[in-house]
This record gives sequence, C-alpha cells and structure tokens, in this order.
Amino acid sequence: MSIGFIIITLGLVVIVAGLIFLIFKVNFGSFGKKPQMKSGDDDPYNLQAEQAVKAIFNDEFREELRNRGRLHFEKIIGENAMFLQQDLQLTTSELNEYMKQEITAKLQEEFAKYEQSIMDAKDLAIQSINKTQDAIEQQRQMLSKQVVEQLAKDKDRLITNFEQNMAQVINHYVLEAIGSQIDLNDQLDFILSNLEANKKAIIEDIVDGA
Amino acid sequence: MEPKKAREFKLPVSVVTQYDVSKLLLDLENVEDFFLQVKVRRAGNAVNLPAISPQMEDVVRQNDLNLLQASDRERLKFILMTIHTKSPIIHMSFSVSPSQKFLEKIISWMRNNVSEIVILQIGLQPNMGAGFTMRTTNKFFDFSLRQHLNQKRDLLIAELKKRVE
Repeated sequence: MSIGFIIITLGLVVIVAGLIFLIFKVNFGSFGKKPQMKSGDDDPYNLQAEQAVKAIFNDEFREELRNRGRLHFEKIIGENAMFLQQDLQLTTSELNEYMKQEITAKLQEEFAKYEQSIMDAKDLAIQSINKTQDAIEQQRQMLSKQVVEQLAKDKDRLITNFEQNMAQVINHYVLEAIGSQIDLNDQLDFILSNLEANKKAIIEDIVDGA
Repeated sequence: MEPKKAREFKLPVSVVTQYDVSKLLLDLENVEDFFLQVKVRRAGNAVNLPAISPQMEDVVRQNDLNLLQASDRERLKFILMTIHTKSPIIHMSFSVSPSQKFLEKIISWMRNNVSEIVILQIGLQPNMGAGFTMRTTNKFFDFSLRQHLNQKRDLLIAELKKRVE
C-alpha cells in the first residue's frame, strides 16, 4: 500500500508540473508574443485586418480561450488521474497479489519446515516413548516376577509361622486351660511310672556323678 | 559314693529338702545350746527347753537316738552334716506347689529305689501345665505336658492342614 501511494503521489506531481508548464507557455509563450511586423504593416488592410483580429481576439475572447483551455486541461488531468488511479489500483492489486503469493509461499515454506520439525520432534518423542515403554514393560515384568517370588516366599514364611505359632498358641491354651485343673495327687501314678521307667538312668547318673 | 554311716542312717520321708536338713542341724544346735546352758546355769535360773521340729522327732524315733546322750547328738550331727554336704540332690519342678504328703510319696520312692539319703530340691514352673521335670547331676528329664505337646506338634500341624485343605 505504501508503494502504491508513493507512485500515485509521484504521478500527480508530474501531471501538475506538466500543467503548470503548459499554462506558462500559453501565457508567456507564442500567444503572448506580439506578431512581428512585416514590411507591409503600414498597409491599411493590414491595419484593418489587424484591428479586426484584435477585435475578434480581444481580452474576453482570450479569457474565454483560457477558460476553455483550463477546462480542457483539467479534463485531461482528470482523465489522466483516473487512468493513473486505475493503473495504480491495478498495480496495487497486482502488487498485493504478488505480495500475497510471496508471503503465502514463504509462509508455506516456513510452515513446511515447521511441520517437518514438528514431525521430526514427534518421531523422536515417539521413539523415546517407545523405548521408555519397553523399559517400563521390562521393569514391570521383572517387578512382577520379583513380587510373585516374594509373595511365594512370604506365603511360605507366613504358613510356617502360622503353623509354629498356632501350635504354640494351642499348646499355651491347653496348658492354661487344663494346667491348673490337674491335681498333683492325680499325677502321682504318672510321675512314679516315669520315675520307674527312668530308674536305671537316674541311678547311673547319681552313681557316676557322685 | 555314700558314706557308710550315712547309709546306715534312716532318713525319714518327712525330711525332703536340703532346707529340712538345715533345719535339723539347727534343731540339734539348739539342743546342744540347751545342754550347754544347763551346765553353766546358776541355781534358781530357769532354762528354756528347745523346740524340736516334727522332722527331728521322726529322725530320733526312726533311728533310736537319744538326744540326751552326747554321743548320739554327736553322731547325729556328723551324719546330718554328711547328708547336707554329700548326699545326692535331685531337682524336681512341678506346675503347682506340691504338698508335703505328695513330696513324701515321691521321696519315699526315691529312697527305696535310688538312694537312702537322697534329697530333693523343689522348683515351680507354672507354664509346664502338668507332669514334672527332673534334673540329676548330669541329666535332665522332662515329663511335662508342655514337652509332650511339643513332641506332638507335627501331629497337630498335620491335623490342622488336613482340616484346612
């Protein structure tokens, strides 16, 4: 737009300068010059003709001619300005189109590069994600295996502890439940029978240990 | 080996522990003190008769001893000192504190089958439930219900597994 405006302005300046030159020429050029008297100026016909010419091309007629010329020139200037405006509009539109195409092409090129960069980054990200997923999957499988093994160990340990503790609990319960309920006198036969069964060992230990 | 004099001596079943033997020695010492006081007392001074424990009465009766005789007292002191220091000691533990009558039955068996002058040291282990434990000089015998249940633990676990499965 700024280039079109400059072109229009320069065109108008050139046209105005041309008009000024024409007006100057009309006023101070051939029209303003007095015709050179020829050798026969003193001729009455010539004088009469000259007077008739002066009568015809008087100041009003000259003014009329100036006005007509001014109007004609204004018309020409207007037409030229219109043409110039059309040219400028056409140039501007072409320029706009050109700029649009250039900018579009440039943008498309940049967008293509940008898209390519994005695609490359995407590929890298996908590769990285895939590697990470593979590593996670391997880690998960390893952890899963470890968890299963640990669970199996814990299960065995818990079962073993449960068996031992349960046996202890039952023993403790039985001892607590019936321990104080059995009178020693009722156990006398059991005690004496055990002593009798181990009599030899007791005697040997006492004799040898004495 | 048991001393000869101690072997001929009949230790009554009422004397069960080393504490009982110590108490017999104390009774004997009191009797000696009594006779010493009698010798040195002045006319008109009262002399307190020593208190004799039932175990001492059993000892005197079963061994035909006369504590008025110094020789018998001396012999008894020697025997009791020998028993106190050299008789075999068997440690027995029960879940509850045994009665004297119960201990007499046990010690009777011991003196008839193991040694005539054996004495016991009684312990208390409430967690054994029932039965007893016995420790001689070099051996330990566990006839408690706790030990019996521990020995049968595999059977208990097998039964538990059978019920769970």
